Amino acid sequence: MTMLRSTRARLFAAVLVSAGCGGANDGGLDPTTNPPVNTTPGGTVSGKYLLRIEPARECAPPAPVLTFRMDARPDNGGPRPGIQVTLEFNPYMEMELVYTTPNVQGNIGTDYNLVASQELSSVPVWFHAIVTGSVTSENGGPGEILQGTMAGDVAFRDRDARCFSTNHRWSLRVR
Amino acid sequence: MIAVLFGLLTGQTVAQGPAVIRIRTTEDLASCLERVLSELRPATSFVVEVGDPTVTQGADLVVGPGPRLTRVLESGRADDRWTARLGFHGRQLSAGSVVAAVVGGSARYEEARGLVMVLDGAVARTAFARCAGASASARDSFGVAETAPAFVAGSARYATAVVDWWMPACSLQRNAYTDRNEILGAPDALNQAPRGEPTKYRGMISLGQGGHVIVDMGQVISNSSGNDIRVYQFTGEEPVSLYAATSPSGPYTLVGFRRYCGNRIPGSPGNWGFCDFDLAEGGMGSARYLRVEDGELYPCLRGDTDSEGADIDAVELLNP
Repeated sequence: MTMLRSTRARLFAAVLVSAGCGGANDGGLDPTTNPPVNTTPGGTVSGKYLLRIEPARECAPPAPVLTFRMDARPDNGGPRPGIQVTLEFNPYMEMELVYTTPNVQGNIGTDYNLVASQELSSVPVWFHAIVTGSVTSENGGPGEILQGTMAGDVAFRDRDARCFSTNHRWSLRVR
Repeated sequence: MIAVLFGLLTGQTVAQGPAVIRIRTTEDLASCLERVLSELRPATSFVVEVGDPTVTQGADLVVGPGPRLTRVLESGRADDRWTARLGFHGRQLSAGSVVAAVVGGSARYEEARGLVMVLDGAVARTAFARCAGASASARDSFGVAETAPAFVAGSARYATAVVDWWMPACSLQRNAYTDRNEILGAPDALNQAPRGEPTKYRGMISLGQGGHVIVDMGQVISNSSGNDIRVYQFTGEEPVSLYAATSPSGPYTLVGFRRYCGNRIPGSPGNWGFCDFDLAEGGMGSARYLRVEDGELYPCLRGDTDSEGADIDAVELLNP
């Protein structure tokens, strides 16, 4: 048990360390005739978004990608600038993020109500995890998180059947 | 006169005199609860109703999974000072214990409190575990008599200073207990509310959704055999995550993630809880700074109490 816990802790620590490196998109020129895309680190995360979660394969997710319609808004009343991202209509799922431009770090949590993805409306899911990522924006548009790390517990169908992994991934894109 | 009234499954209730204690619990717990109480309190009149234990109206005692009862306890609808933890029931093993709590506004408060005291005893826990296939003394030190190490003069055993903290703006606005300095020193948290009234705590910080406090333990903690650090989590049994570092600026290494934090010290008030951590779990030989983080991760906007998130009373070195 101790060995398992220790391994889990080391994996988690590795994620935390690597998360600090940022990783903004380098935003090269579009080779087509479209106007060049200027991708810059940072940006304002506010409005309607799609949260895309890729649960780790070892957790045997019911689908490789689970997508949720979310509302995001800056939340600067705390000790540091933050972003609050909530499930559209009912905040049964919520992300609370610290935003130190361009990096975000925080968590995602669900309550006891049924939350289902767009892909599988009949499969309830639960997430309790720590997340990191980097915000970028294109041509001065809204901020997005193109790929973030997610370490923690996921559960499908049965809330108590938790699966811990450091290998979940997520993104938050404008819809 | 023995009057055990049992309305399992049907929700049927039979009134027999004014002193019948109404117990509301989930279907999977009802039969074992009835059996244990019938054996240990044959002269007490009670009825076990199958229903949602988070609905306290019309009940004198509620019994259910600890995580589900968190907001019932922290709102004062059930009295967190009079709770029993019946062990870890089946799949609840990873999520929390089975908790029994007296409904705050119950007209049969004293009688219900008597049943909680019976359920909190080793005999009842063992009998319940035998019946329900639960573990009476599960992970960590649940149910095991704990003896606090003797205080070493001149040695700071508890957190001495706050280095840093964070809480989402949402939690900061909604929680009433946000003084980070309450984490310092020895455990001293209390629920000062009169019986049946909304909770009124002192001596703790409610971390909200994923909030944390980084403390200086005032000395280097060396990894010793067994657990090295104890976090006192008041009321409910919200999980706690712990990270450790040798420098205040980090890097912080995970020691335990979302650890159940409702272990009991026998004889302590029903709202005292704790969880222990071993630096070796994070592969660390020593540390001085500890980041204590909420592991419940309950959506802030869904919270309906003013003490959302793990409620931290104190942090103690077990091997100073």
